[in-house]
Amino acid sequence: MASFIIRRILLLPVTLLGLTFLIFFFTSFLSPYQLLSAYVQDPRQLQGGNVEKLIDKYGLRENFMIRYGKWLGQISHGNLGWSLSLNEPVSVVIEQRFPATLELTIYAIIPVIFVGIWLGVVASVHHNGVIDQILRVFALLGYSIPAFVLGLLILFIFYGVLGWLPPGRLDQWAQMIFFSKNFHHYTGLATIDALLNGNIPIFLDALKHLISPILTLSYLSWAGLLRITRSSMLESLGQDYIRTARAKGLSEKMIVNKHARRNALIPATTVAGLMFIGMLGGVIITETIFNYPGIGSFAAQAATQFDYAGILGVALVYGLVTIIGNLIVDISYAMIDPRVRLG
Amino acid sequence: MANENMLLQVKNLHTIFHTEDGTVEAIGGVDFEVKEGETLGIVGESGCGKSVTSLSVMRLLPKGIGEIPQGEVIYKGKNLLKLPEKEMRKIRGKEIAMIFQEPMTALNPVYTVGDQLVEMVELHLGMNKKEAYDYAIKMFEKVGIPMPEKRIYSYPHELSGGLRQRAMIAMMMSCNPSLLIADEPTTALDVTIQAQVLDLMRALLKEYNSSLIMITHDLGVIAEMAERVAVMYAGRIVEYADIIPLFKKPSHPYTVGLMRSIPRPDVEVDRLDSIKGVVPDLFHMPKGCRFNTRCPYTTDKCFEEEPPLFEVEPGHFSRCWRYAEMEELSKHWESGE
Repeated sequence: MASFIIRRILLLPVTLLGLTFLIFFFTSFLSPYQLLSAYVQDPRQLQGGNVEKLIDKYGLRENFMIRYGKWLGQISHGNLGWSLSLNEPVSVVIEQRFPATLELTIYAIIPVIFVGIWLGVVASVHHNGVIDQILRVFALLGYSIPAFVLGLLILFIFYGVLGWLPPGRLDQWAQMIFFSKNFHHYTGLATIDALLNGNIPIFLDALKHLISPILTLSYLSWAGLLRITRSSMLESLGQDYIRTARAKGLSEKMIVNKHARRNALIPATTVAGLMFIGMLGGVIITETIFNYPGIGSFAAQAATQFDYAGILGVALVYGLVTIIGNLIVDISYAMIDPRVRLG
Repeated sequence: MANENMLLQVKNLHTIFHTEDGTVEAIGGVDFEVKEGETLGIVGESGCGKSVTSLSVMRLLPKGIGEIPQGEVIYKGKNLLKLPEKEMRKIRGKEIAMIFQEPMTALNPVYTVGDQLVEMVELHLGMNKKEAYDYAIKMFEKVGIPMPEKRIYSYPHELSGGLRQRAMIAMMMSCNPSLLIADEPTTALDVTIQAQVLDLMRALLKEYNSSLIMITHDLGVIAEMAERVAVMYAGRIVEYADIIPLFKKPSHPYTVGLMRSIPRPDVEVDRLDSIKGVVPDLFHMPKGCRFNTRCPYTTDKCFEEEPPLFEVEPGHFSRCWRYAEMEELSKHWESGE
């Protein structure tokens, strides 16, 4: 098991290098002037006749490999360029906004994984019973309603009509406190930092803002994971080893929770991992609808305003998260299924 | 009836399956008995109902699909079919254990073989984890698994087919059951391993004085293991006898056909005999005797009325109208080709 994890982690830098290469390859179609935005830290650098000097400095007219090497040097120092759309260095934008998105996706995925799998198990145990039928309708709705429709509906009902769940990340007053000097940012996650600072009102305020985007973001995943778990549970309950477990005199609880569920978790884990990664993509819509200041809404802005540096930065972050997400899936896969550990 | 050493009596067992295309009868009135320490063989080709019989005895038919509308399964004086599920769970594994054909799929791939044995003895023998693991090592040693203290931590995919089946046997014998049902336990193994596993089973049964129901399509395995044999065809027992009378004087054309299709080293033939045709499917059972579509000795009566079980000689039964002539008839066989 340990050697499996080490092997996987050793592969990480290789994958990362491949990722940067791919991203840089796509930028190579841009002109040196367009590319320059991915290098400058402050527009003031461009004053006077500096543009040509900077192009030479970053080697933007050199051949591809030299450009790539110099760019790697830049990003390894955390220099991701200047975001035109937000008028801030991209690294600062990401540093501020990534925790917000992480907060959203983590709160979205964790209940999905635990409750989604549990509901799937329940549905399979009550195969074709009333509970199964109700969950089937619930899942069907999840599949059928696109996030932008669901998001707008939720926004309309819970903010527009009822006024309960406002968009954004924090109310004005909470923002003032949250970004004040006295407020320590341990993790960047608003809810957790609020708790660590002992500030319950801010915690509640952050939570209030999170509910709608979390619902929007995760409803499809609920449906998906529920259905996958249900069908893999049904498959696993039909296997020979379940008959063996019954022949051994084990209780139904033991059979479902021990023998069937662990096998059903194998496909469910893969799907859950993909969902988490997919959610990070899905936040583009959700964050835009709820005006939530995360990576997703930044990506949407950057893409619509030709903010090359911003797009590059977001692509890097998404790539990194995808790689790490896959690593976690692989490791949990090996923990669940002993047959994977050999490979 | 009230035999002292009677362990299991199956009386008039009927099993039906509710399928999408309608309800079918998989077993229609099966009777047999197993005495203490005795081995009963159930022979028949695929789909004849032999596995369904064993699953019915264990009440392991798929829920909502398989049902037993009629019949009795008397085990040590108790009708298992009337037992509440909770009581039945105490019987399964502890009193009646079961070994399956394919040890790869019958063992759970994500738990170690030791763990799968341990959970059983924890449940039935009330041992704690430590005792149970020590016990598991002893059981593995008993079934001849080398390095048992290491092997109990192996996963099924890390063992060979033979070792897996040994682990399965160790598991199922661990609670010292009075009756073991083995459903084609050696079919998935190659011949040398098959012989070893059969020897092992015989030795264990003797040591524990357990009875065995051996389900197989292989008359060779039956000859080696069983004392009494039930030949099944299309959900019926067609012949039921002690092993020697059965082989000496098969009294049902199906048994005759089965025996003729075994290659014999002492008889030289160009071509092995076979039984023509295939088993009729459950939805289209022929009227009269169920074997009439494949039998070379049919008369008009065979197509009209289903024969009852006739007693050929004491303790030897045959479900054939012409059982008395069978010895003469069996000299000629119309092969399938």
